[in-house]
Amino acid sequence: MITRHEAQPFAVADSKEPPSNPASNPASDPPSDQLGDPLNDPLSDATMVARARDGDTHAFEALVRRYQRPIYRLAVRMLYDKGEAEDVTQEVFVTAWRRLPEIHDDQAIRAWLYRIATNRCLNILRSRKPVTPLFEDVIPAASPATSPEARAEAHERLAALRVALDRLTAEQRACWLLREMEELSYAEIAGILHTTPQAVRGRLARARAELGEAMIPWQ
Amino acid sequence: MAIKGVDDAYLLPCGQDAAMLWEHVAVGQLDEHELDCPHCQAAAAGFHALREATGELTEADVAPPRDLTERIMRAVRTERRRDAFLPIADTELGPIRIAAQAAAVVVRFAADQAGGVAARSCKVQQLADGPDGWCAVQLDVALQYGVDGMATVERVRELIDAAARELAGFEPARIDITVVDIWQEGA
Repeated sequence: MITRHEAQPFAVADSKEPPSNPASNPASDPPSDQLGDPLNDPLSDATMVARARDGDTHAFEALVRRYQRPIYRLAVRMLYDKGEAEDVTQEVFVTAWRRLPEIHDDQAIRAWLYRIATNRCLNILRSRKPVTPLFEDVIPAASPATSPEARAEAHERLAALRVALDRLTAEQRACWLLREMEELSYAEIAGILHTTPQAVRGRLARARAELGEAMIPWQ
Repeated sequence: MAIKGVDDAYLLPCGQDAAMLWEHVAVGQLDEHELDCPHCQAAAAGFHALREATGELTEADVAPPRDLTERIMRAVRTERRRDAFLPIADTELGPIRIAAQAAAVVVRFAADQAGGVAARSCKVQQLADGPDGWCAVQLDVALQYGVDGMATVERVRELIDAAARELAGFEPARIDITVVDIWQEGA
């Protein structure tokens, strides 16, 4: 079976690994319908970036479809404003389109998009006047499978986490979201925030300690 | 739970590293000190609640509006980069040209049809000293692991040659193919 990229959008990390299970008979040419679909192969980030850099908008659209959801999700959770998150997501991809010629490692597009998005969100937060965020706007409904009591408790626990997240500094929140929600490595986060993996570890520990303290009543 | 930071570590009032306690909570194995210490116990309780809420937040996915892709692509298309045009023929009614980008789309499409090939960067340029429509094609490809490289590249050349003449009207006088990567199905 071909691994569909949509199901594992971030499965490019070990595509450089040497093949561990070589084809049984590499000398014979398999029929083309058994070969991988180039749009879904594990290297297709690199394929799409190379094509998009040549000006292929269809290839770029494939990248947009693959990564707009995580970028939008990060922006919503950084900014607590869906309208601004949409604007940020659009800006991230238009910036990426303009700056594609600067990418030297075609496999690194995911971290690169996160870097543009994180910096844009941090700039917006720095220029923003302090306001009370409307958490209700970005709290999704809990799963309907649970009981009303459990739903209500989960809803309040989530609201408490959001309040606690808002008390972190913007950089701490970015660090926490990139690690816990987007599952980036310390090294990737360090690259995005222009710091060291050790500093990321420290910031994350501080963020977790502060969030943990706020969550004690919800144990 | 007063907490102070020392260098990159984050210490609880009892001196325990909060990051270490977090990891112990994650694997469910607190050490002797952590089991006895009220500071560690309070912090561990908060970490448990945080882990639960974090899981709920992860599941509560946030989807972008349906029309976001189209909005992004509209903005991108207004900035579409235009590069050179290739002369195809000079007719009585005027010259016929094709955008080099459009010629590259035809080349990449043809290469993808070979099976086990993903076309990447592609440049189509008019031959410096050739007649109208005579072009040099440079194509980077990724091959699927296990395909016969030489046979596949030859097949790619044939497909490009046919598509260029039949679909785009140019003559690929030279087709340089570089294999830049190998991919493995289902890796």
